[in-house]
Amino acid sequence: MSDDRREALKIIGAIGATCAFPFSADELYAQHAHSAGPDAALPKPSFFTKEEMESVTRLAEVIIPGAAAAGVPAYIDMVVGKNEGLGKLMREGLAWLDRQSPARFVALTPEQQVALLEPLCSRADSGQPGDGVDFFRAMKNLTADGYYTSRAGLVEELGYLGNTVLDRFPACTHEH
Amino acid sequence: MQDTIFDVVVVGSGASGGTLAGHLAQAGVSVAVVEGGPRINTRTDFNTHALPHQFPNRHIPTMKPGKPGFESERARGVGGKSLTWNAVALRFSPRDFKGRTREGAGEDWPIAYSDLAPYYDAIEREVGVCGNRDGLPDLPDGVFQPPVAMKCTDVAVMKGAAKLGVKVIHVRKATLSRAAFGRPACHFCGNCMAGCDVVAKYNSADVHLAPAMKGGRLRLFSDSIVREVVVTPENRVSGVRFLNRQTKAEGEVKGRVVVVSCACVQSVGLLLMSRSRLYPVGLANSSGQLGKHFIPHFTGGVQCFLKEFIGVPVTNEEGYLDHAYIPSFMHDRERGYARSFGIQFNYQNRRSVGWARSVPGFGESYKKAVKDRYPAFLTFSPYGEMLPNPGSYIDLDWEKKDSHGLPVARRHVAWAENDWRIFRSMTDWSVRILESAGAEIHSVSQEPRTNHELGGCRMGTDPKTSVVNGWCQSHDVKNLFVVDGSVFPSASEKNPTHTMMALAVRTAAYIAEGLKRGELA
Repeated sequence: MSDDRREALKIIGAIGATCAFPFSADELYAQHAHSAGPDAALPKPSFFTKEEMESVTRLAEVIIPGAAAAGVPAYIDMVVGKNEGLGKLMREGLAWLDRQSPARFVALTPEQQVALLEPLCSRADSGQPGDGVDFFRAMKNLTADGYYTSRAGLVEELGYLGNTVLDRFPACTHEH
Repeated sequence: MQDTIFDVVVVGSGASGGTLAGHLAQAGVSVAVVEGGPRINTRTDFNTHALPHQFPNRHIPTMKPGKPGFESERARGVGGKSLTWNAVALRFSPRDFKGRTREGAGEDWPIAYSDLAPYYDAIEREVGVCGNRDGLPDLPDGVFQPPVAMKCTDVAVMKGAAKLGVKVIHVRKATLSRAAFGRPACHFCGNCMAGCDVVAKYNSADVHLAPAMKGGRLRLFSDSIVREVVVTPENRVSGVRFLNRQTKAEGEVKGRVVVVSCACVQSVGLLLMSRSRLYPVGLANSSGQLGKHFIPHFTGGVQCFLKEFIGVPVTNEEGYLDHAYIPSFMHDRERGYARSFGIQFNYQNRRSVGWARSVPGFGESYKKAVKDRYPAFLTFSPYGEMLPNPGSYIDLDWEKKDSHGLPVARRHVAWAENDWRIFRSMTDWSVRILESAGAEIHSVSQEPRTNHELGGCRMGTDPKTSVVNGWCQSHDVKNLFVVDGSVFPSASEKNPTHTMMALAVRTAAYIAEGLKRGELA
């Protein structure tokens, strides 16, 4: 048994002694520990074509490095497949993106890909309309949603520390 | 069972109905609680400790698989919204009851703070409210458990606010900071609104209803969606008719007194759909006031990053959501509007990173910007008091039926000039306070949103302009009561549940006394 787990059981034991709503210490700890599990399995991509999926995967990775390994492309496929309007926007946007240069988006060098996305991003950030801007906005939103709700994004990248058992909430001790 | 006549039939089992029913049972009155939702085991049925990545669509369902409640139409569960509230427990102040007298706008309550004070005491003594005794004239102190320490980010906001003469206090919550009443103290997992699985946070099912059921005076009819409060030709209510949530079978519970406590909009809806020969436009509605004066709180919101926390190592700041509060400070300042606002803040959960969408850029620099800002993110939600206006009301859509064939209650909200003035003022102040605390502003809400539904069944002394009297008793039908947020004639800017619970205890005492004297039945 790890020290962390022993500590948690000790705290819960102390709670349990006075609780009129009986529950076992393991049960409560199990609920907390459960959150340490892996990402839920995503359904196999079914909305995008193979070529579209290649583009989505590359786009997600350019927007947030690490997104592809975190399963974000499959997440995007699932969300987009359930929303007709979003599906149309994404499908047309991917086709539009491939028309912006002689080669398909995925065949461009990383530098060329970034150069293609930069003006879209700056327009999206400043709220200016333009060709491909809504598509980029949607793609970035989906990537951010998928990544920062994944275990890789939330727990490993950002370092989420909540959902634990504290016996007291620590007061602030540093100077502001 | 058909022949049982309970002393009191209570519709709804949330903070109001649950508290009232528990107190009636304690007073020796036989009570039936009729609740549209299923029984919920707070220990095991909620997804309290889940994280988004455990679900393919990253949405955490409120209930565990196969556990009914909350997700389905017209079925929340025994305990109502008290199961998922944030537990902020503020007393209203003397000012809040006399708004019209004080400012010439809105309405006065027919009761005063002193009428409710003993009942706030009673609630605090029996459910446990933690907080600091701050000695503020506009936010009366109560019988408190020790407060919980503020978060580091709260302290930063407190210092910024102090420079503007604005006070930040410890929040007051009906969550235990110390084990008491056979319940454990909070363990600060940060999942209060996902359903507290150890009942450190108050809920009516475990704290008020369960002990009363054990005592044998309270009978619970769960999964029973009330569709009519029955009125006799002698102008008395005799009970309620309901539909089983699953089988849709009809049922009836009879009582000497009926209390409607199924939350503001649903309580008004139930009375409006209880049409009879005596009351063709809704029960207890001879005044035509039922549904009018809908005065939900409105909130805005500012999201920011506190600069001094950008890039610092992440700490576990989940706590029990918000640990601090900014009480109203405008009510006695020059301001160009009636009423005021208070500010809830820093209640966001660190598992929700929706703000990452609108951080500029992409690629490694974007990813770093999000990571650096993660420990610094903070939300402000000021809450303002709305004044009643003719464009804000509740009615029924008789054309649109729910899956039980019952008309759907509609909310109509129109913002008037005073509301906009408060909204602009509370937004400006939020930004000023945050900037004073060294914040980088991320987003500012431009439109009010409603929360804390109140009004529609307001209490008053004049039967022509109000639905219930100062005892929450119908002007029209003497053995009918309404106890929840719908009876509030004015809303205050303070979170309302504590006042609903105090009203419930006061009304329970009045009903128990009335039954004893034979005046109600």
